[in-house]
Amino acid sequence: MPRILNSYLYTVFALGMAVLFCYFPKLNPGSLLAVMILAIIAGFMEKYLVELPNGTLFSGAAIFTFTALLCYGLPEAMMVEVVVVLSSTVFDRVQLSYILFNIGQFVLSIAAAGNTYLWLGGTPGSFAWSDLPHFLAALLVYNLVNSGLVFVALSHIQNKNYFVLWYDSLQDIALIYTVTFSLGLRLVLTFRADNQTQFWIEAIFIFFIFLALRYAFRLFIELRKTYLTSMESFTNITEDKLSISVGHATRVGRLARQIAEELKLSQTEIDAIHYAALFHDLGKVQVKDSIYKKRGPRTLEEEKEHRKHVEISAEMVKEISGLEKAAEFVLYHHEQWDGRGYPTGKKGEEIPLGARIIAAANEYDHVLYHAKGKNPKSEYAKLADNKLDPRLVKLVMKIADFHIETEETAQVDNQVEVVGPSLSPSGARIKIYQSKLLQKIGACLLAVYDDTFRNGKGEPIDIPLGQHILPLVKRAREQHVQVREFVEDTANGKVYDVYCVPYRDVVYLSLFDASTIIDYEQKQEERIKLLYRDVIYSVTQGKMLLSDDQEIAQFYRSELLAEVPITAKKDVAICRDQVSKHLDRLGVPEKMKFSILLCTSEAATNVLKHAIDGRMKLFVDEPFLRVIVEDNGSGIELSEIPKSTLMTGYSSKVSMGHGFSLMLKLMNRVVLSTGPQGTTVVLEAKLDSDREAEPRLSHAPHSVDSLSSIPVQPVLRGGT
Amino acid sequence: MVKIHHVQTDRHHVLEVEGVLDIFTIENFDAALEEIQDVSSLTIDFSRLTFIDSTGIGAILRAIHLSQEQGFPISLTGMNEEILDMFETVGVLRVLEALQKGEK
Repeated sequence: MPRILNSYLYTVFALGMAVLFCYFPKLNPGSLLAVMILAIIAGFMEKYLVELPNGTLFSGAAIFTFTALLCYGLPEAMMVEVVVVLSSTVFDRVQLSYILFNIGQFVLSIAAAGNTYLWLGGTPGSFAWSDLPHFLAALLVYNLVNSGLVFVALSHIQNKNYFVLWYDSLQDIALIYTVTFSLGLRLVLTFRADNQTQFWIEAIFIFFIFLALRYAFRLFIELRKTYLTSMESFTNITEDKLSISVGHATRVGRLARQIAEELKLSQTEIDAIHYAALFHDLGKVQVKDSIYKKRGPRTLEEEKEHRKHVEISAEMVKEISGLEKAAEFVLYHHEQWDGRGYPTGKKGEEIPLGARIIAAANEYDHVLYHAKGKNPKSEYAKLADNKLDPRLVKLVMKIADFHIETEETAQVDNQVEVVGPSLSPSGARIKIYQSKLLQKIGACLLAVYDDTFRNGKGEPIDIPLGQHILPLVKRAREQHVQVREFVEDTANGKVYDVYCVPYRDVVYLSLFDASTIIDYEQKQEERIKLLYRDVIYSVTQGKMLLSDDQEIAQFYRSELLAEVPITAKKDVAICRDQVSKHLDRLGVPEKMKFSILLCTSEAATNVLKHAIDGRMKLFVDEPFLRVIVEDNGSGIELSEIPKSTLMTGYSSKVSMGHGFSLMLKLMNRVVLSTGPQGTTVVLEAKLDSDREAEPRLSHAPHSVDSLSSIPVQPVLRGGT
Repeated sequence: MVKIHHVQTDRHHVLEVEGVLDIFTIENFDAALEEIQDVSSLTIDFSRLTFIDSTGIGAILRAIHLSQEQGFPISLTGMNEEILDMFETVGVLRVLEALQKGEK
């Protein structure tokens, strides 16, 4: 096999070289410098690839190849291609045969495209609107030849069908085609042989668009990864509590995603299945934990109790924003192919596919980790037709290796070998992201400064925020350095990312409206906060609420009984004394009093440990008693919240951080608001005398409602 | 706020904690713990302890770890119901049990 592959790679190279030598002598020495600059920009584009959310890498180099073709000619375009491939070898170590192949591949692609363009009647150097169809056709030929050549190699390397590769990549190719065309067209239209200023500004502008795109997409991908990892750590925490093997849900989630990807389901469905698999056992936190700690067979009563976990899990998942679809998969994940499962006894294809996938992944994990000396592979094969969908069993046997992984493989997406423009499996979301970001980032302004601001045609223009930008431009000109600065327009709240690039005695200026990216980042953060809030609310069965200042404000509207500043260690004792005095007056039973004093002490101590100073306030709002402790510290990091609130013995500073888990156990409700301005904790206890002597984590799924009458409910559905 | 009474019979030491054990008073407890020299066994008596929080428990855990390092047995006595409950919740008793099993 490698022999066939290698001879293919070298043939493409040889053909490419032959074509290159035919055209090379026709290179026009006069345009050499300009073409070199284009090639260098293209080389940088190749280095700063944009990674799309589905893992596709996307380079803008082709824009410059086509610019060279349309403005200068075919030999020049070839030169750009060769420089791009060679420059990528400087940045990445790639096998020699691949580099040679890439050279051949790109030379052949551009040769085909260029000849199409010339044959249809296009003339390099004089692009007019009537050339538009010729450009479109040439670009199409380029993409077809390019992908056609790459897929022959890829189908050998990845052992996949040639036409399947085509099918998978159509969406990506279409996207690359559209972007290359629109940006290329924009660039070519500004080209004038006699006055090239605007052309070069435009070229730099396109380069910056790609940098901005790259930043925005990376941000998005990072946030998604953070979200996923925190979901995984939530499940690890519950597993630890229930003595289920830690990491079970994480592994089931990853395998389920893999299966769903193999089945070519849509991206939304794949995500729903992944989340459902992560949370499939969440409901077990509400089933008596003794069942799971018990060794040996369960009694009938215990089995009945255990089976409830699917319904409880589904209920809980339904309450997390955006996971409504996943809830259904969770509900049916214990149904069996032969109809002997629970809760409804559905069989065969009546069971939703997502639920069947989770069952297949779940059983795989069980078989693998509880094999007890038996061969897990044959044990798993036995499950086809009775417990599991035979088609899925076959698929799992094909993709899984039946080995226990010793180290967590953190990467969800698997690496695809890079040959030429890397084209990996497609996803359905590209279009959405494309429209959201591409359109908005375009809002910008380009200008030249030579004592006055002018546009590309040399006409004087007005610049927004001129008085702020002028000093930057002057500094760039006087010191002959590049200046980059963020300038805020206080009138409309817009933030501009300003670049000043000196050239001889003028300065090129580009202004990007960065508000969109900043807004986007902020929205993502809010979204994540909302998700954390939902998940924490769910996991603690409504006992812990992440809140914001506005919601917290309502707790201050009741009767204030006491207020104590907390600045020194002795103040913790004063807080307790004050609270104790009022509890005695209210006739609070001894046991409950101890709980409230303990939590007050914990919260007040946290102020001294994590902030400099703060204060404690005691409110009564019959039948609720609230201790509110606020500080001006730097707040709890979002990603620390699950750990510092849910894990026993964890504190973000090295100390005995039992505070939050004690508060959750002893109080009826804990409301937390945290941010860079400080942290506020509301401890709420219900004062009714006929209540249980000691509040405990309740086992009833709907106890949330009876706990409080305060109209603070997290936004559970509808999302952002 | 807190008084630590130190009673010694031969090499057996008893620390009796009277009052409150929290962030304000653990220094006193830590100091008393440091003064103990030449130990064969240590008992911490909580019968006159009126209040303890997780910071106070941190100090108790330090005592437990000290006994581990220096290889003498340690016992906790005199807890009332609330304090025993809290020790249970926070896991002090589990730590102690695990360590004592390890010794045998």
